[in-house]
Amino acid sequence: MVLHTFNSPEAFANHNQSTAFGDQLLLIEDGVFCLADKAFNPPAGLLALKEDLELRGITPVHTVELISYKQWVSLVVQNQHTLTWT
Amino acid sequence: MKQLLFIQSQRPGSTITAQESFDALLAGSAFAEVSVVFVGEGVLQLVIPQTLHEMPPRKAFNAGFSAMPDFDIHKVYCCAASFREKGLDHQTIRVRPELVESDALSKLWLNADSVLCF
Repeated sequence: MVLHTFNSPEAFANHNQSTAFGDQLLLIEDGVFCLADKAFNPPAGLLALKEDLELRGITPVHTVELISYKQWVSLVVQNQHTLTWT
Repeated sequence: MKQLLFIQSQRPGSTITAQESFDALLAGSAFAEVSVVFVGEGVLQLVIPQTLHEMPPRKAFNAGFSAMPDFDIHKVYCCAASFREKGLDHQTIRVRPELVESDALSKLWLNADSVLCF
């Protein structure tokens, strides 16, 4: 399995088509701004970093799974590759 | 030998990120078997720039792409969807990469030992 991280809404828009079924998708840094956009259509199983959301004062308008930095580290270890889309 | 895959997703232009990731690719070829895939706006790196008179001429770093075979980089791929989306078929491009459809892209990185994403 592959973990994809997106650090901006543009990165997500440009590269989410490069992901495959079963991959894990994680919004980090400014990527969490996706969740403040009502027009955003989150794929099933999308993850977001809780700390990065709180830091930016965003209350998500979509229901996604929020994870901590520690859980992020576990994901990196579990997955074969981590692809960082910027 | 270790298989390294470089993913080039940065557009060329006013930043040197695209150029630096190409430098990394050449450096990587010295100690691993490398392949490269251009995705998203990264496919624009393949376009040969036309120098505009009103702008200072910029050195076209993608002239170096033709040297890839000399660095034993023979596996050059390009995301077919991005290639069509940017209309590259009608433009002059530097190298002829193998076009890969979206569903086959993930196989590229699953087959690599390590992936470097730029």
